[in-house]
Amino acid sequence: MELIKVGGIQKEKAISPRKTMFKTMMKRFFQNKLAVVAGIFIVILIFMALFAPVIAPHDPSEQDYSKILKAPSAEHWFGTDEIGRDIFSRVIFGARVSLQAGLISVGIALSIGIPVGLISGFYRGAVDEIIMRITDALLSFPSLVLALALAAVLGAGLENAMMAIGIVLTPNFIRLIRAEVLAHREREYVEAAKASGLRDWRVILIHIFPNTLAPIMVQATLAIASAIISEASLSYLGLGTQPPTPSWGAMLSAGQGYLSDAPWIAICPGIFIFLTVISINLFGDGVRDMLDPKLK
Amino acid sequence: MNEVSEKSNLDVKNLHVGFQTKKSVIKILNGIDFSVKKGETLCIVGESGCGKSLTSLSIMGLLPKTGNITAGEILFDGKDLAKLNQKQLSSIRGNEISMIFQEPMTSLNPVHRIGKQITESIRLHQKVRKKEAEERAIEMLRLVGIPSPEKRIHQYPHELSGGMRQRVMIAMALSCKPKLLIADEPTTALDVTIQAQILELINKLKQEMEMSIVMITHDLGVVSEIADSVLVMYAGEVVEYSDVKSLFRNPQHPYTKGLIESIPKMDVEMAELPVIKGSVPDPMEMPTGCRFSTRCPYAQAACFYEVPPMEESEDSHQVRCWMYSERWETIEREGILDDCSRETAASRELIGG
Repeated sequence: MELIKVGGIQKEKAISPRKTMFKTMMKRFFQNKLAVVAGIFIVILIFMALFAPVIAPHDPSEQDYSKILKAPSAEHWFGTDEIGRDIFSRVIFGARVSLQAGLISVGIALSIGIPVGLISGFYRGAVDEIIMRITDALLSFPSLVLALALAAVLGAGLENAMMAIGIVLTPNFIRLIRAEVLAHREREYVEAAKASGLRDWRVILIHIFPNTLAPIMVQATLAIASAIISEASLSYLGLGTQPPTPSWGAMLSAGQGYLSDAPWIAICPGIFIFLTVISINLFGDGVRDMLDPKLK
Repeated sequence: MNEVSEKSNLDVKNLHVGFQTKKSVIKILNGIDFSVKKGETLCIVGESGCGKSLTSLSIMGLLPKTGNITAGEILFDGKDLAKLNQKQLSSIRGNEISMIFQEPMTSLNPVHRIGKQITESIRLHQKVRKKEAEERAIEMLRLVGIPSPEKRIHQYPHELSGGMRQRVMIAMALSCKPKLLIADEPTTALDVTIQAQILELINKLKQEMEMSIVMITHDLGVVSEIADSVLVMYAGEVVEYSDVKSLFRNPQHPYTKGLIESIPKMDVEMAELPVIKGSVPDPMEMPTGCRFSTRCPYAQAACFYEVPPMEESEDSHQVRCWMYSERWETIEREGILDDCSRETAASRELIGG
């Protein structure tokens, strides 16, 4: 009889906890106004990147020598550059490069960082030691210097720049995932999983990995922002996106010579870099708060 | 002895486990012997750090990396588990031997639904389809007394109470109908009423499924309720091994006596509860003689430098104490064993010489 009573109480409580959990998480996110605004900006940016050819009023590489260094006007919202290209259109197309750079570099970092971090944390020992010393070595460089060196070795170009940025971001992920695995591998449910006869790889993939996802998600969002900055920096230095493909970083570098005559060439992509990075960071913070049950 | 091993399900012989440190190997388990017959419950009792859990982990093959079985055999159905590799052990774990852990709150993975966690083990060991495994899981949950199991399997662990989770753990452990269940303090984290329910459940399932149980506990109340035989461990050694009635009626080892005396009694009023003074010796600095000698109220000089053998006092009641040896009279009279020991003792300055 007692049992049924216990069950009865539980049943009432347990009808929709999953829904309510999702709801509280959403509620927590929407309470953070900054994160919501940031999210909206990111959505607009993604939209811009996807439909760039439709949205852009001009061809981004179309040169019009009759309209060189024109100030922002009704026809050219953000003005034109030194060879008469429409800055607004170039900024819109530049969003493609930046988002691509952000997502693909982080993708590369995750695809190396997750397996290596899982193995390192789960097996410990010599393997862990070697991996950790390599990540220490990589982390000891300033990230831009390392990205620069790698991009220089790999050769200029967007693909190589993304590869270089991905490699630079990887050690952070390895460290984070390893730390999470270390925390979880001693938990009793891992021992229970082993005791039920699961082989190591299943314990790692099915039981440990899903438990490490929340911090990985947060770190990945924040890493996208730093990847975008790195790509812009590499492009600014001439090792990233090559002309005529519009990239915010490259535009910034090209506009620098005209800063006193035509500041809009540099300022417009600069503002977009700033807004994008700050939005992604604020959004990432929002995600962290949403996933952290300790915050209300 | 052979006769025993034929009938028994699990036969642990002279098990030694050591931990590798940078400098040396620390011996933690020192010659553990016991056997569990089919359908029998053995309780392993002892205070924290005496090697109870390590014994069970050795059987499961789940010793930490630095731990090794340095000698001895663990015979399960005629196979020596100590000699199997991880792959062979994996096929036995969760299938023929299952384990329940102490902490129901943390022994279930928080990110997976209950149903998934139970079916995982079923599907791993038995080639059944997802649907069948799910039906089996529901059946198991019903068996362990969880109401409306069809709904429960879609829930996450945080939606269940501690007692419910322990039931889920039991359902998981029993889902492949194991021949041997190892329960490492399954009721310690639960309150007394739930504890009684869980013990009753384990007992009931044992009879239904005809399995053997090795139960680790430091609660003698649990022992008296559930055990057929009891193994009392102290500092990595077996100090007393007997059937449960004989143990409670006639505890022999001073340590066992101390344990039983230190249980609060309802009918006797006393100012202070008797205690066993001191604590378990550090494995690095084990006493040379009887390991309990440093805390034993009856210890004689000989106890400090001669390791007592396992003595069989009554039928199948074994105890590791000089008091039950034929030589105890000599020891009591002389404080030592013989001339040879006298010299050793003298050199250790234990007696005047």
